[in-house]
Amino acid sequence: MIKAGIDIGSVTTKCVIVNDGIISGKAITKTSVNTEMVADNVLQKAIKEAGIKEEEIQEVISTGYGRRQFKKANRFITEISAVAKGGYILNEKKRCLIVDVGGQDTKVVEVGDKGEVVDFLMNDKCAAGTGRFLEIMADVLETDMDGFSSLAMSSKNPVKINSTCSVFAESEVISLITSSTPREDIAAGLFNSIASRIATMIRQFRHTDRIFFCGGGAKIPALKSYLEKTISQDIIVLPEPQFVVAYGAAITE
Amino acid sequence: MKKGNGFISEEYLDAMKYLWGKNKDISFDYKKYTEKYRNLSGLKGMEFFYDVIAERKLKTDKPVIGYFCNSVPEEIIMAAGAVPLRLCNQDIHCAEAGEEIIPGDICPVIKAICSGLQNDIKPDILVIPATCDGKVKLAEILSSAFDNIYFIDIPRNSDYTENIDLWEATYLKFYEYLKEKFKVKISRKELLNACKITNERTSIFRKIYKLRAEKTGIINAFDYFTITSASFLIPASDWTKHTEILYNQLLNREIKTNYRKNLLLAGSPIIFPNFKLLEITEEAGCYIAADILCSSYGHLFDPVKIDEETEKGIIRTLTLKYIAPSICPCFLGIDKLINAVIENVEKYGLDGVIYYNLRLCNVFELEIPVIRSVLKDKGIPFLALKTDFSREDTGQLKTRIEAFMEMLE
Repeated sequence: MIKAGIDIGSVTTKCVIVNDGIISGKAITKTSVNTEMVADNVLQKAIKEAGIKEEEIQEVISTGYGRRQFKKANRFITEISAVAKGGYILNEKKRCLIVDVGGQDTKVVEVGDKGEVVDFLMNDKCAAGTGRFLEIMADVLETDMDGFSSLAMSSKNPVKINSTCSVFAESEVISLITSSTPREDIAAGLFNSIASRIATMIRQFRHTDRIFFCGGGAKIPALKSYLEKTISQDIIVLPEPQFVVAYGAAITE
Repeated sequence: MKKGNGFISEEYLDAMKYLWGKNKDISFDYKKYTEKYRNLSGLKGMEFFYDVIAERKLKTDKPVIGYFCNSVPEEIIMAAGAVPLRLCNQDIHCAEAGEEIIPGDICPVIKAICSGLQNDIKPDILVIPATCDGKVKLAEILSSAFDNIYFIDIPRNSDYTENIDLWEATYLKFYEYLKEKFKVKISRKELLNACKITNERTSIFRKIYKLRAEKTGIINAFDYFTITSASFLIPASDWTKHTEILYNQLLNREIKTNYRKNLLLAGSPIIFPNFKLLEITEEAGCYIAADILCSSYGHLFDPVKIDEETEKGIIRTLTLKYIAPSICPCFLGIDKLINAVIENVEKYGLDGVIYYNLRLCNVFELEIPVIRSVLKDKGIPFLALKTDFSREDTGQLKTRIEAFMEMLE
């Protein structure tokens, strides 16, 4: 059975096509104001990669922030359920905690023995502690995400950044730059501040022995590294971390 | 309170008086706003309550005593020949306007109150209890601008075994104040009659509360919270009369329901027109089967249990009515809230608990980890939501509530 999962996030839109549960095509693109069109584009790309015809898809399941906007979707589920389903299969069907750092949301989901959502937490409505925050900070430091991450990894002496609010952190960073603080120490400080925010969310859960990491944020080595340091525990990045939610939607029964 | 300590500038006072004067222009168009819920209702008996909310006019010849929170003894006010009018305000326009004199990062209820009363009626006396720090400061500020602000300085420990005497003393003082103010003698009979009136209100409220919990879909959240909001604005006996009519209609109501889960709502108060959260829960197929909120359950659920019919004895039992079940997080006694939540969930077999945390009311937020942990031990699913009167986070709230529903299924 061929199914498509579409994850319409605040920053990127992802599509995964599965054939009897096995991924046969996937695509990603930036989300724009025309959600419907973006979702359809990404679906077409994934169809092309899978080498199938659109009519062959038996069910389209949409998720993510814009889930209700895609009219081709036969149904929708929330990204919380989707990430749990995807992460559960990818981690060999075991109980775990999944940390998903997206553009606008950071979520921590506790998945039970049977793949059910036991509990979940999401960040507050603002962008503090999310991918968008890191993007803005990379911009302030005049680098891209890769450069930002490498800078942070090379720091020996991270500064303490107090603000996690994007607006306040920006002015804090600018004042650090003008006081000649090394950029790598500022970068490290920023990753530390976001890591401690995520760690606070993780600590609300009781079973934290197996932690998996996904979402766009999981592609940033410095974020993983600083998060591991903060919680003194290894975390495992799921394969193709940005597609876990779309995959979870696609395999929804 | 003494009026005008002389430390607030004329300019500030003028700004405040100006705000209070123009509240009718800034608040919601309630008439228009009630229509959308009225149309969803389909209950004849609801017309009266939507009219109350839309018109916001208290029709009475008696003096009116405005008050905030759930710790002001209405019965004493009624016995003194006045009408109690609860003025807690959750109108976003009022909250925004209130920022003219109250800083932005203060609880929106405090800001909303400051921008005036939602009513055409100006109360003769305004009673402000020491429930939260915001109300205490408010009493101070308002008393500089207006006459007849009365402050009830209740203590923070609501454990009646330890603190009933102190608490009672503040009520006795209030009682004496009203007698003096209105130049009336309050007889035992009048006190008993007032208690009888609120007890009748409690009795019909309990019936509705039970019916709602036992029959999924019998009344939607908009209707229910409109009834409870209306109880702030009209005399208790009127409310009782019309709630009885509604209750009888509910008994014969045929229910067709799309609700998927039965939940309990706890946390910060919900008062018309702050129905954003309810719109999302209704849309997600989530039936609010019970609530432990100070604006509904807290306001209406507890009776006065008179055992000693002396003046002092009545005030004592009145004090017990307000102190013993107090669920406000500003007081010591979180166990009362938690017990009430667990009792309701178990009694009615509910699927989970949503905790509404009004942004910037920090004591509600402070309670969340404790409640989460206790409910986890009990195996009761729990979702905490932090939001305010604005609509900008509707999408995020929807995701959380829908995910919670999926989790329960």
